[in-house]
Amino acid sequence: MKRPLDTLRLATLLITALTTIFILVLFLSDKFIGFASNQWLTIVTMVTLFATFLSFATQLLATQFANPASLTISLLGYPYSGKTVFLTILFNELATRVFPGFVFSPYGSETIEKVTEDLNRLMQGQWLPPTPPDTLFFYRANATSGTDIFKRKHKIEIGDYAGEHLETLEGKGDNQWLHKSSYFKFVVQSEVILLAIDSKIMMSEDSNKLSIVENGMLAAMQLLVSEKGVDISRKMKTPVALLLMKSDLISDNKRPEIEQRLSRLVIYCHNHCSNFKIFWVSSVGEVGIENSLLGKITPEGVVDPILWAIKLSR
Amino acid sequence: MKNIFAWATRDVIGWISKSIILPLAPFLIGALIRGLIRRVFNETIFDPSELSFSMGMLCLLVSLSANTLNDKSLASSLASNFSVGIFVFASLFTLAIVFEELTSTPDGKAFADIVNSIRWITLIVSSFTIIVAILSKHKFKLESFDL
Repeated sequence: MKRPLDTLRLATLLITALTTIFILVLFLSDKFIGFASNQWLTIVTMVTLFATFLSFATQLLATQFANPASLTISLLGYPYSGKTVFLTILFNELATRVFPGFVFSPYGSETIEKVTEDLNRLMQGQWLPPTPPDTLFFYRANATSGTDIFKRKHKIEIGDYAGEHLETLEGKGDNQWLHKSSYFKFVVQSEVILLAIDSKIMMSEDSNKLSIVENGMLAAMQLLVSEKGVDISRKMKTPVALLLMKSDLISDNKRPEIEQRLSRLVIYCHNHCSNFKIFWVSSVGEVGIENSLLGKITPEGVVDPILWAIKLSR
Repeated sequence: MKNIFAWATRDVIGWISKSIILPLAPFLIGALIRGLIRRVFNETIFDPSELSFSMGMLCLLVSLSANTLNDKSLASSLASNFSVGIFVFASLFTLAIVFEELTSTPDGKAFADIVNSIRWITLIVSSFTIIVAILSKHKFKLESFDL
């Protein structure tokens, strides 16, 4: 698509330049007045200007149609909640498994290299190093959903950011509030918001730790609703998914208890978001003694939030 | 009923104010003043040279806004398109100035048709460019720049 567009751009520039030069040269010549009063000049000028317009319009429309609308997804979570592992496994699962009516392919060398490197590390039984503070990485992919004439292209972009800015919502940082960070601008503009919470922390008996996590997420949501300018009488249209990570560590009968512990956040999201859902996610499946990675990765519920988001975006 | 203005968020309004309304301000103010003085509100109050100059500015601002996209290939494609727009409108500006000037000469009446045609073409190209610029903002989420 790039080459015809470049040719079209060049053609537009040439037609425009030649028309302008032609008329200006005529303007400077003595015979101009006589020639210009001729109807032919009007016709020639109009035809060339119209050709320029058509060429310019075609390239503008070609760029619009050649590039699918981007589906930007932001992932918010405290450090060590497993965001990067989740995204690595998510990209691997979506690209290598078969989903009816959904085709996914990572896009761009940066994304492919990062996912492959991180996947190799995980498969070798090593955890990923924490994302360095203030680094923002975009995982990108092209995807199609639906079948035949209802097929729709998506350019998926998921922002992964070190979670240390969430801590600053409690005032620990020095003027580095989440809503003042460059990432928050991306979060506000994104079409889907994923809130990642480490469910292991939610099982902790330390109520202070629990409230810090819940309050941080609650404040982030309040900031979001406020920054998006959502009217108090309406709900935010952006889908919000609450991902309870490391679900392999939590037995089924304990899950309602954890959801109860997050009741303030869950109620706020239900009250202010049109589409809100809780997902239990285990990126790597069961882990060994002292949280060591076992040789085989058996993810659970990793793709569900993204498929849910894409379904809503249609 | 679906709210058709649902996408008109604060950011979209901010972007349109800075990237569309601000560059078009000289043209709109000029047209308004001419309309008030002549007490006529039809296409003759639109000055094609003012409009093409404003549209050149608009294309420049949208091009700068497109350059802030994270997706570099899309950013360069959009920025190139709107850069071509700067050139197209600069040429329209030159032609409009030349023919408007000629209409004030003794034989000027012969050029009135050309000026009128340039006015219509500039109006059509400008309307199309503004619609595409707003669609690009909505589809590719162009960011507002800080003034």
